[in-house]
Amino acid sequence: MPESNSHTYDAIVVGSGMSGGWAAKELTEKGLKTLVLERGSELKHVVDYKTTNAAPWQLQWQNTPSQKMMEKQSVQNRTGYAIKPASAHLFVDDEKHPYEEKERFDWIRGYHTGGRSIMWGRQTYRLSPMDFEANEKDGIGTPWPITYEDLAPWYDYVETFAGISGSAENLPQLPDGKFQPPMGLTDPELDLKAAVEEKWSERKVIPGRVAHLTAPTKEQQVLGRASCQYRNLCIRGCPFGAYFSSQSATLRAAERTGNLTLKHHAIVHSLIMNEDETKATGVRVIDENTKETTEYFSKVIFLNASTIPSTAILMNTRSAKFPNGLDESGALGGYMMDHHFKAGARAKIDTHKSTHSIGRRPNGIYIPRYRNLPGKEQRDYIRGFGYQGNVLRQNWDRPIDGFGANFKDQLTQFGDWSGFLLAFGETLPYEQNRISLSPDKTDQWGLPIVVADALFRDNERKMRKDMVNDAAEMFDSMGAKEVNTFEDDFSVGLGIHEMGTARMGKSPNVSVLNAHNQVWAAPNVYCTDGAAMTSSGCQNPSLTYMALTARAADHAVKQLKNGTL
Amino acid sequence: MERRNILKLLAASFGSGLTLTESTLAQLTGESSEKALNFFSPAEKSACASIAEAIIPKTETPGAIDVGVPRWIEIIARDCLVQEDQDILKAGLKSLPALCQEKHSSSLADLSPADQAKFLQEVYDAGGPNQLFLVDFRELVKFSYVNSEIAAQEVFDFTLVPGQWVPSAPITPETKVPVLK
Repeated sequence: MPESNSHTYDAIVVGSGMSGGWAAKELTEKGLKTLVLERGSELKHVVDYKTTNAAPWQLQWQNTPSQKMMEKQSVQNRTGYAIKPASAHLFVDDEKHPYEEKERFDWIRGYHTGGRSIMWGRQTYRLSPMDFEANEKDGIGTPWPITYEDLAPWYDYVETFAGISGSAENLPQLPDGKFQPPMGLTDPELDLKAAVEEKWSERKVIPGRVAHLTAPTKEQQVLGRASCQYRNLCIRGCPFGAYFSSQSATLRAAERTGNLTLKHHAIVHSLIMNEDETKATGVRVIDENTKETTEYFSKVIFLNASTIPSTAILMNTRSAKFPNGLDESGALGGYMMDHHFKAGARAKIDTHKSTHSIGRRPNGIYIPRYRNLPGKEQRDYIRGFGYQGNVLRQNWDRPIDGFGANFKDQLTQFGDWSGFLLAFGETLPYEQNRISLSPDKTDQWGLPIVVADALFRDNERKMRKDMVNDAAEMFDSMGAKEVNTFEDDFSVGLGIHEMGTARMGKSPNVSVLNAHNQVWAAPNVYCTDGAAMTSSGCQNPSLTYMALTARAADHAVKQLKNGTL
Repeated sequence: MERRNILKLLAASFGSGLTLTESTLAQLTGESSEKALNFFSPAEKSACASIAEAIIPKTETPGAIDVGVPRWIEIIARDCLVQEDQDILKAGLKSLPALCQEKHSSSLADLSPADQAKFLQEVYDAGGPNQLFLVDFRELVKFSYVNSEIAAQEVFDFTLVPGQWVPSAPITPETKVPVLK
């Protein structure tokens, strides 16, 4: 293999996003020469955030999407916020990246350095002991092979590095972490907190926990990161590195080791297996532009391509021994989850007329799960939901009547406060919620396109009644006016929390990955992105991917050192 | 230490092509900044300007025409609206000037600002397609006015880098409504 030497590394990481960045950081810091393969183009920290300082009048159509943009990125536009001149370039071109929807599936993606760690919502919550025990207790899906205690030190570790703003609340259903100072609540948010906590002992209104620096550590400052400047233009990329992204944090740390090689336009086709198909020796890569195939080799491989692509790579690794991809349990592709949302309430609050807030907080309030807690009243569904929301002063964007000088006068004054509570509910892992590879359709790189076939079901529908009604009754409790509930159409994917399809489990008969995120069928392959999730909780999942990745990288390096990999 | 770090980063962020050089600006504004703008006929352009100004007139602060609202509306209407909404817009731009002539024997722009507002309110109160037009058009005028360079900076508060989050602050006579949330 004369050519293979320059293509040989200690480790290969597929993907440079939320979890791939962590794999890169951990493996390079532990001394491994690591190749990171990113399928999209390069997006350099700060200098490539081309719209980050653009004012509305400096953007096309004052940052309104054109019909052409919305057609070209019709799936990405289902978000309702992504496809605008300031941010559309960070989301995929749907015409170039097709997939098939057996049932509607909103697949929101970003193919560039850092992946969706650039455009993510930055809300960061731990799963709780209750979440790790839920499948076993309910007899749903398969039990997690790890406990909260297994992951807790790794949550500590990733929070300390990433920088999470939040408040310690001592809630069993939402464990505290290593926090930088929280972002304060507005006057009516404090009223809501007081009213809700007075009326319901198990409900809390707390500052959102968000991956923004509010008191950067030395370690963070060395990487060039600074405190949040309260611009709330995060989706364009942050020139201060104030929120956690691969660019601002993990990839920068990995670069500093001198052990990182980052290749762009590198689309992974499949894993290369050794002769007796007991482990992987490398990956086949298609160049996005030239479409040429190249092979890269390593001792250990981390799949961090994001939930569906990581699973697709495992599915596309086929042989006589593995006709359906690198899995013998049948779980590969199944048990896909997301969080269901688009349900909650809005309200008007007509108090605190003489105050407002200064700055733009890229965060809000959070109401941790309070339904179906152990030892409490049980509803007609299992699991639960949390709320994200805010109460902010209305400005010019409120409805204003009239014409002429009077209209103009109202425009330049504040309106009442406007409250918003949006629930995010846990979705159960259903076997029949699946992705598969198309038997006959391929994309322009010759890769079989992904077929998505998933639905929210009875448990989610029942939960949504509480998601709507509870939001209204909490606004009512503070004396809010014009309380209006909403429950909009919802479909799988739009939570942009797709999870499962290569779940962790206790045996190769029921799962794709073991307790250390190793593929049962090829233990030198680790998968630590959303694909690994055994259940979804109702908390935003990125922090859990980070912790799983750091833990798995530690395991991989120890195994390499003692020669068991 | 932290503060110096922020200043350094701020300088870096504004020095690295992110101050929006002419070429970056051209790239961002792209096709919407092209010179030839003929989505509206001359009569429609004139109606767009006079109705926009009637909605947000020049007072002690700039009006819709001063800040370039008519041009923004034409660009947004051309590229961002679906055909149905474009039709509503063009129908209103045709019918309102005619109605004004009929009622006041005068163009809208020649009425006093107070009479212009009164006329629009009457048209609105009469309902029908003209009301629909005014609802849409008023939203466009409002949006383009607030997001224009002049109004954003002179009439409202446009702060690119607030640098702080103060959850509760008193509203004073100097407090301006922010452009961004």
